[in-house]
Amino acid sequence: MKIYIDTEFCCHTTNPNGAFREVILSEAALVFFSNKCTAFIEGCRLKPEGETWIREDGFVFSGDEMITPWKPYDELAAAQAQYEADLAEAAAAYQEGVNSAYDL
Amino acid sequence: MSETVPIYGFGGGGAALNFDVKQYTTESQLSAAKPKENTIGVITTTAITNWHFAAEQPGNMVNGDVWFHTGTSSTVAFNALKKNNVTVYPLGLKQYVNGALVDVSGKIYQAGIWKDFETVLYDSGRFADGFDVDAKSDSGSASVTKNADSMTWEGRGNAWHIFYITPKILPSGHKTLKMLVENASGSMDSNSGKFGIASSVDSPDDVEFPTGYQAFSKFSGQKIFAFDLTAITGSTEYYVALHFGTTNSTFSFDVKKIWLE
Repeated sequence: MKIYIDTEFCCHTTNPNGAFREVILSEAALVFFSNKCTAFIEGCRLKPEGETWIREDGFVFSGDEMITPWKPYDELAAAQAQYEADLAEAAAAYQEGVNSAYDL
Repeated sequence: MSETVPIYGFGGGGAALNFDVKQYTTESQLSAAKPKENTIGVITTTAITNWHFAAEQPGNMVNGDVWFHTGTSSTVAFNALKKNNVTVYPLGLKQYVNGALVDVSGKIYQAGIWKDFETVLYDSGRFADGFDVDAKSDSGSASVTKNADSMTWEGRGNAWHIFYITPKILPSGHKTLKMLVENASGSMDSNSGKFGIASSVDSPDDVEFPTGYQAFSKFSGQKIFAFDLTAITGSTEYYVALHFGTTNSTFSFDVKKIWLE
């Protein structure tokens, strides 16, 4: 899994123009982002350890790593739920196909 | 503690009301002002049409309306009426601009100074009414010692430990979750510490922080853990939680304050 971040630490799963920088994911970040859909990942902000993000209101987040949504979390949760439902449906369809093959 | 009820209105400072709502276009303009007690200053360039005090987002907002998010605990609570008592516990504010609720800054003028809205869950030995702390460990021990002006959280053994505040809170409407800690002692597993809002605290070895987390490691002196809540929307409640592991060791620290801004 490759995640890129922009100057506001917003996550991207592609880097078409080379404008973003790739993040070496911590073990915790790897676990957090594993099995997450693109919409979820790209709705998150990842501030790496040792770097500083200054929020719009001036509050400073520095020090250790922080992952937090930048898009409304309701939207991310809904996208992830749909992604998991689609995966489950595909898995069920695949299994049905396998079962049918054995029934022949 | 009294329940809050939605209050809707315009203006303020009238014969019956004990507060006022004023627009300031910049932080410096607000800071320079010395209005009357319980004046709520809203920093915005959009004219304020009406204001709503409510625990949940009002459904009938028009452009310019300000929603003051209220709860059951606030460091800037005030009596809204001059003669009777309707206590309001403001937690934060948003304004309806061009069809959407947007974050705006605001403060309340009390006792001669401008104060930020914040919800304090714990401060210097005291929990807000109805709140408490619990701790669990999967194969070691997790304990909370309540001192006169702090509490000591300790995780021990070859284990995962979870410390969490009860009951759950609704983070929507707040900007930041903060915890002031000090006097860290011992050792914890590196890269294992997480602070934030958890959906489940049943299994210390599998705590879920679905909206992300603020990582932490052993610290020196005093430190503030801070987790951004500005995009945490919806009506889902979470536990304020802190999670870390120890490997045949003990790690402890003192908690001085836990609050939301």
